Amino acid sequence: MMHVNEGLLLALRDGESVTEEALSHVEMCAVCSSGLEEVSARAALIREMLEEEVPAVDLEAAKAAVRARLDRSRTRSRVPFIVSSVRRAAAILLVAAGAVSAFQAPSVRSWLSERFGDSGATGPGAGTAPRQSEELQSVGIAARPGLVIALTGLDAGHRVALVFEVRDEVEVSAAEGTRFLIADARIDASDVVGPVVIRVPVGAPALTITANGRIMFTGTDAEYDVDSSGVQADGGWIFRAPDA
Amino acid sequence: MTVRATSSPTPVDFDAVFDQHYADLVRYCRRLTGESDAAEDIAQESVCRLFGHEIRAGPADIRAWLFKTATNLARDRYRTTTNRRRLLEVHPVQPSASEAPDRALEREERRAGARAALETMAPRDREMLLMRYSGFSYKEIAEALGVSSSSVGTLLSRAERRFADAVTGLEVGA
Ligand SMILES: [Zn+2]
Repeated sequence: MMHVNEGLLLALRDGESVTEEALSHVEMCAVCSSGLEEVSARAALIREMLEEEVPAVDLEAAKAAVRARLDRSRTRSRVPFIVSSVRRAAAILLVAAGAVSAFQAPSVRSWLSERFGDSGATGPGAGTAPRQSEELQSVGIAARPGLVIALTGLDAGHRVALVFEVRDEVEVSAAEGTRFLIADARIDASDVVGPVVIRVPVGAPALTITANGRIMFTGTDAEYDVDSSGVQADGGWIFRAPDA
Repeated sequence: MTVRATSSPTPVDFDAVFDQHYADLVRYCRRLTGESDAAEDIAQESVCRLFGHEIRAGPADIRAWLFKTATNLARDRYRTTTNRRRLLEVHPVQPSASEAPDRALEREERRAGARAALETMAPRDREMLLMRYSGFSYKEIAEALGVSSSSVGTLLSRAERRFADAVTGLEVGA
């Protein structure tokens, strides 16, 4: 065999996989083994040249800067939650329903339809008699992937509450007719009719979801506690709300 | 019941990304651009983009993804290599209290030499070298830089020679 080329010597030096043939050649050949020593010495020299202190990075400042950037990029397509009265909440909900549902609701609906379609649970696409409308209305937008929480078994007079550790975006979809009350770190849905779907974004701060006073979910998309009624499904959880 | 989600796509933990990758990423960007403000800017933009992206595998892929994105952002920013401020100008030598001044100076000269040598290199050679010395495998380098895995050894060998030659040339010229 001819001497191995330098690219192969580097691969050998760097612990990359090389053929048995190349390996045994280098072991036997004085020229190639000295070549390997040479490129190894070069690597040590380069490593020393490139050695640099870990930059003094202010991690908290960097996190804040990234959060601000993420917020800026989302506001372009986001409806803010912060409203101070029911009247304003209603107005914003109308805007949100119009602006958002065309983009977001279909995926949620197909998720519901997939999940509930053959399970007999109440929900759009379940084959049961539709309520006033099959349209879902949404508040807030989370275009990112996350954990989807679906609450079923809800009926007139039932209540759902979402409480945030820190207000962050979260997407809530419910059948039309559901009334929302939106505050800074809290969303309450009263007179819930049909399923409510909540999308918990990746990396969002902790959130607690309560149905008729019982905690169904509390935590973040990565670590959370769930009520024992929860059934895990691809991409999220389905809960059956207790009676009011 | 407490659940730690492990399903695909892997949830990207905001704090963990910073703790595990951010300092390395900034260091890589500093070497790549020779500028510390730009480095932080590129690193932050890369992390931002990560959160708009589905990562389907483990943490190693997050790291590779971040470095790849940063490489592309740096390339876009430095289509022309003029007007690149040297890090040395922004951060003059400041020996730490515990270190002898001559030793600090020597170390700083070596770093300045490395930066100057990196500046003389073609972008892909520089990226190749810096990714390798940031600990990436040939496969990851190939994927990030859009070259074939089997050519990485040869391309890296060339990049190393160019870097070593530039360092020697600068030392001789100095
Ligand atoms: Zn040989």
